Amino acid sequence: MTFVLVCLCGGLGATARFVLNTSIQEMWKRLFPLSTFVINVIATFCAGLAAAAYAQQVVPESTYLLFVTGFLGGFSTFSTAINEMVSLFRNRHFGMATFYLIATIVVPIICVTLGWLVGSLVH
Amino acid sequence: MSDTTNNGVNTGVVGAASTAASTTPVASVIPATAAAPTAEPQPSTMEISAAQIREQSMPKPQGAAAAARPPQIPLAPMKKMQARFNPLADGMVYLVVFLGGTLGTAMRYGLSFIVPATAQPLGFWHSFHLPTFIANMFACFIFACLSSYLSQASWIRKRTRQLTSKGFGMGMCGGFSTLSALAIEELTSLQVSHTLGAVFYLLFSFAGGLIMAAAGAKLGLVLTTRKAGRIAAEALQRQQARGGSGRHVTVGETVLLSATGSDASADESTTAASVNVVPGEVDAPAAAQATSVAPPTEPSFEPDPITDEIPLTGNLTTGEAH
Repeated sequence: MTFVLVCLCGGLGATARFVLNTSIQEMWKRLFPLSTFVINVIATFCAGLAAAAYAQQVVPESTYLLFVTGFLGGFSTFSTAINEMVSLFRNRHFGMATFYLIATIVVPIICVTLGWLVGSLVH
Repeated sequence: MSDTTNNGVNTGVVGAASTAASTTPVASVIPATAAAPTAEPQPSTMEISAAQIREQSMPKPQGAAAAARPPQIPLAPMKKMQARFNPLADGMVYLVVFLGGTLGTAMRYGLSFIVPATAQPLGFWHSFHLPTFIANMFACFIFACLSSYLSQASWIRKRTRQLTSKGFGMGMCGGFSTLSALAIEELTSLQVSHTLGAVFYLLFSFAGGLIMAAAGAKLGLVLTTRKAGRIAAEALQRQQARGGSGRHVTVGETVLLSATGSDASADESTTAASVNVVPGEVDAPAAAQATSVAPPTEPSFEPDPITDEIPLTGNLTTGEAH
């Protein structure tokens, strides 16, 4: 039962990603793939927050599983980010591709740490 | 006066658009042996040059519309609710993304039951989380392959391609791969000070993902190229079976075919894609070349001259001039 619920939450996360992705792409017309980046930043921040909440026994494991493995797993995306880098490289935007690669490596780690710190402070 | 001139202009433009229609009936009465060769008028005299039409039919914004950032007219409220104007109003896409995301999450969550959570229970490899890594690699490969295939596959309907790309690409692969789980795993590894292992896992994930995505994109391109080649070969075979010469005609080339050939085809136009079958255009030069001493007489058909006294605004889509 939990399995099905986690999967449905993943579907919900993917749908939320579609809505946010489309909305951002309508406003942002530059080369930098802002939509995927923003999505991943939000997802990793929430993941850090949830991990802190789970570590301090504020939420039960089932909630953590539903939210992090389900929703955030479907919401955040590794494959889209990697493919945007590859297509930037293929279109010879080497500078932008490298910048995006470094940003996608570094910023999520910072975000998850920030989320963890915020979650710890609130408690 | 103005009516007759307008008519003449109209004929000229229509004649330019369909030269075959106006030339063929005249040419068909000329015997192919050309006892009295009659030079056809050059088709160019009957056309308004394409450059002229293009020049006049290009939009020339004036007033506020000529500004660098012209004012935007918002979409009518009812149109905002239609899928073809607003991608966020496309219910079918929501459905396929949801189903794809559910499937992708099921695959990722199921993988965590099959594969051990970390590569080694202790030490350096403890930071290496196999289920997330495998899911990310497969997702990168599938997503790259799918998107490069679908971007080239013109033989699939556009809507089908769009829904496949959204459902399997955005939904399934996006739900299968995850960055948030990767970030949490990094966090927990860093908290127990497995820094080296954590950094290695992070960098290896990105390097592997880039390699897998490049390989997937390559595979998708190879598959589409092969399929496109097969389609082209089939089309060529079909054409040759029907008796066509199947030869490419380059731009500006004049093809002279024998007058007895029933299917004489010439392509003096700019595109080799649209080969017009114009017997009349070919017969006359071929016959003139055969005799080669016969002086050109008055053309049998002379269109009304096009003068620039009346400013013309040709419309490329309707063929109207006004």
